[in-house]
Amino acid sequence: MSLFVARPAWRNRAAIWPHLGQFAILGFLAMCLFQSLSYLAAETTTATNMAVFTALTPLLTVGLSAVMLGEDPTAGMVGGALLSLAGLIYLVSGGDLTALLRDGVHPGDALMLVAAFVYALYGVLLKRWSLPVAGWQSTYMQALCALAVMFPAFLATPAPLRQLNAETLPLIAYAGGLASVVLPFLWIRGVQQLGPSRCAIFMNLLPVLTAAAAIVMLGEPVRPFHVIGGGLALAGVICAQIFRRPLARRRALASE
Amino acid sequence: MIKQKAAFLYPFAAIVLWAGNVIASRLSAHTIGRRPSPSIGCCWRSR
Repeated sequence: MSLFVARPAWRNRAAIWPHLGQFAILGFLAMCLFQSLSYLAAETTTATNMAVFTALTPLLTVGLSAVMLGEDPTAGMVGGALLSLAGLIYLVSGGDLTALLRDGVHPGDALMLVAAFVYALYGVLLKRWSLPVAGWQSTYMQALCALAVMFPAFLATPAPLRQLNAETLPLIAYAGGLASVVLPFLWIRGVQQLGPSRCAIFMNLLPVLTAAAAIVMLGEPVRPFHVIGGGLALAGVICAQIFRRPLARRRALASE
Repeated sequence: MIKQKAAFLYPFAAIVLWAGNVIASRLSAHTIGRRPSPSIGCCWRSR
């Protein structure tokens, strides 16, 4: 990123400098804390569980937006989030809703719950601060701040756990490039144009796409609960896009 | 209207990358040497 963003960012330093603390907080939340929690969780839970807990972010975002931004949730957002969540629970349980209770909770699941809260907070803060810096420069500054935190942590990691070889380099490239640079940039643009609550509804697609990737990469068969659960999750996303009337206005009309 | 619809592509593309990140994190858990506990694998298979 430095090749094509550092120079414009330096020219724009007068606008960036006053918000350095906010960039540091955003970078820490999205690129350090969320990623670290996710990778720690990956050691003790499944990919699908990780995706499902991440998909709780829209619900947390709606709640945080109401508290921090005074934003009125729409009927579609609340109903769509609940519908998607029901689909996700059905998907994860494999069509047997008691399976979640029977299989217990892994430490990774708890870590992912914290991670979901962290990312919801990131989205809401992004909207609340509305920093006057262009998308790539914003991502770049967040990445620099995250680098300042993560690089010492990398050096402190025992050597056997930070080997650079043919197996680890592609994963590092994905995490460092697509997941840490392109993904936040796309997310920031989405949040800027759609708002955190509406944007976060898309998170409900994550378990469906992750399950699909697991099916392809791990050879998992497509079962009815994949179709039913995934279909409900998609229906929730569509619902959120169609029904945009704020709940508060509906309540006001009802009281008249 | 077209611009509004195009705006939805940003979070959608981000989610696609995010799904890849989840898979990558699971792969890294194996690659780096800290394999998940056997019980996790049993749960995954049972589902």
